[in-house]
Amino acid sequence: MVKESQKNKDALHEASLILQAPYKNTKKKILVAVNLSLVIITSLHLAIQLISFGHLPEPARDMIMIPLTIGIHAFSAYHHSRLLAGKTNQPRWVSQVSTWASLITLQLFALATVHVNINTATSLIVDSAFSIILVFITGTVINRNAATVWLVISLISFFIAYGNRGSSFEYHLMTQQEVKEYKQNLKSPNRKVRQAARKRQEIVKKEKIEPLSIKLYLSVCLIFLLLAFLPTFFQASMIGQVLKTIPRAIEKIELAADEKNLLKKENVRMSMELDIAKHIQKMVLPREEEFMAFKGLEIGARMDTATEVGGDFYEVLPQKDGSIYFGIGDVTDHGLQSGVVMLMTQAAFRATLDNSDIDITSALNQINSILHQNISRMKDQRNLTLSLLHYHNGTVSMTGQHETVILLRSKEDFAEQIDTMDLGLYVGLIDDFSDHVQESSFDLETGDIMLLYTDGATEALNSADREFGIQGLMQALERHRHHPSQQIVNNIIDEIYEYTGKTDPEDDITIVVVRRTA
Amino acid sequence: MELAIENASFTFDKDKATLSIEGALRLSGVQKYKEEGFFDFLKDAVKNCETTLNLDLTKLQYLNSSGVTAFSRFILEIKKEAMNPIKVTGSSEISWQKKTLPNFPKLWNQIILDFQ
Repeated sequence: MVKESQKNKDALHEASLILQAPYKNTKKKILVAVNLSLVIITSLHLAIQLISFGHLPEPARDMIMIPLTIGIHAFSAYHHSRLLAGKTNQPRWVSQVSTWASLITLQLFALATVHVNINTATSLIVDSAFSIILVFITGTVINRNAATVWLVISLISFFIAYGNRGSSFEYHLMTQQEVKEYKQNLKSPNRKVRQAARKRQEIVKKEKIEPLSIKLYLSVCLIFLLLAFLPTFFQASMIGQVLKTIPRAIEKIELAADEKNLLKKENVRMSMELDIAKHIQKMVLPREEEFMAFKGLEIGARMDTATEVGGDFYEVLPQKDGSIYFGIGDVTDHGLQSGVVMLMTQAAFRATLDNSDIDITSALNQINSILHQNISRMKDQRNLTLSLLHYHNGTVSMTGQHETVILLRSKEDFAEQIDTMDLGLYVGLIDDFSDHVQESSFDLETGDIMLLYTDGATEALNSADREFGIQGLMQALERHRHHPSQQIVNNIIDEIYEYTGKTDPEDDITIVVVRRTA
Repeated sequence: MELAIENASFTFDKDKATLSIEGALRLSGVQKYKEEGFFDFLKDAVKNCETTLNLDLTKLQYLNSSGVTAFSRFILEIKKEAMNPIKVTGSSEISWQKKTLPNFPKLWNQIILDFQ
């Protein structure tokens, strides 16, 4: 049990590591990709600058910021690659610092593009696009709060850039000076100048490159920015959320596994109790070889216990004087306690009757008294139906209330029933029931068969919820009467299972068949 | 007053002094019957009747062994508490009733049994 749960725990731990691996690695992979892209782009930028101009045109940008950026991103890429490969044991803060540094340099680039770049048009385009990419990266690699902060910063930056340029700025594919001159030329008193300007205006119109108001341009960019931000935000947070739920899901799986283990333990305990109850109930039953020793009677008996034992009881007790006591009974309810009451009944039965000259009604009264006191001590409400039979010189005397006794006379074709209703009352329910105990008797001739049973046999249900019934039992006995007693018992029980369509009884089934042979 | 236990319904009609039980009872153990309010309902019915209560079981199709014990205990308890005895009406067509109801007057000879 312990070993198995340990094994389960190890397997779960391994499973949790497997499931957590993508969660831990995805962030790092995204970051390494960003790092490497930036290292390549900025390096290319420097190379292109050097090839085009032969020197670096903006020292502050090209000689301080870009090399610093390359350094930070190269380190972050290297560090996180090693983390992914599981080849480094450096503390967590190294990873955190390089992550934040990578993103902050990217964000500084985005800000610089807007506020330092001389080309307003490109700066606007680059900034809006870059901001969106950064919102996504920030949201995925760090968290949604960082993405929100970055959105606010880039919006503010946007408006500052707009303020700096002034609301009168128009986006032309020429300098502002040219625009100004062009506009003056359109109204120039000089006809030639005016005509040239108008001609240009016609070409501009024709080529659809009309001046664009910066307000309109900004509005469009802003709408795009917001439209792009929303899905990006939720997409980024979704990835983050999904990844975050994995450890929680694993926790739940572990809990479920623990519960399953507990349930398994409980089931083992329950089935152990049921096994014990079954064992208790069957351990004191008379053995088949005991039946062989009886002279003049051929006895067959069998008890099939239900999964939850039903407290059936039977006893066959030969006496020195050649007589035999029989007992058959059924304890109310099911389970271990019913098995225990059955065991006590057997002990009381033997103690009271075996080799004593007590009459059966007195014996039944004593058994009732013993059981009543013991069951009360158990603080239980169980009781039982119990019939005592005494076979002596061809006569069966009987007492106690149980099911009927079935009698199949050798001369008759059909079986008959002998009622026990008036012979007694539930055993163990009240301390003294002697007023209700009576005795009756019948003769058992040579060849006659007596059958004792419990209600598990008659109340066995088929698939249509119909009982096997007392008639079914009597007819089965009539059909199998020519077999030896034990064979009769086995055949009848087989018929009951055939009737119910099951291989196990719902309630204990007990059948005892006694044939007088001499 | 009404009570439902498992697949059985208990109906008490004070004017007719009749408590009828219909359906089937298969609870496991007398304790379960107690928890479901079986004893309280039956005893309250006896207390609330000025005349003899008629316990009508003619439509109680099935009663398991724990249920038989529960009814037996109920009779023993009202006997012990010196309450009014009851009349039990049963059906001779239902097999468990033929086997069981004749035992009730044995538990208390004041119980009247009527088979229909």
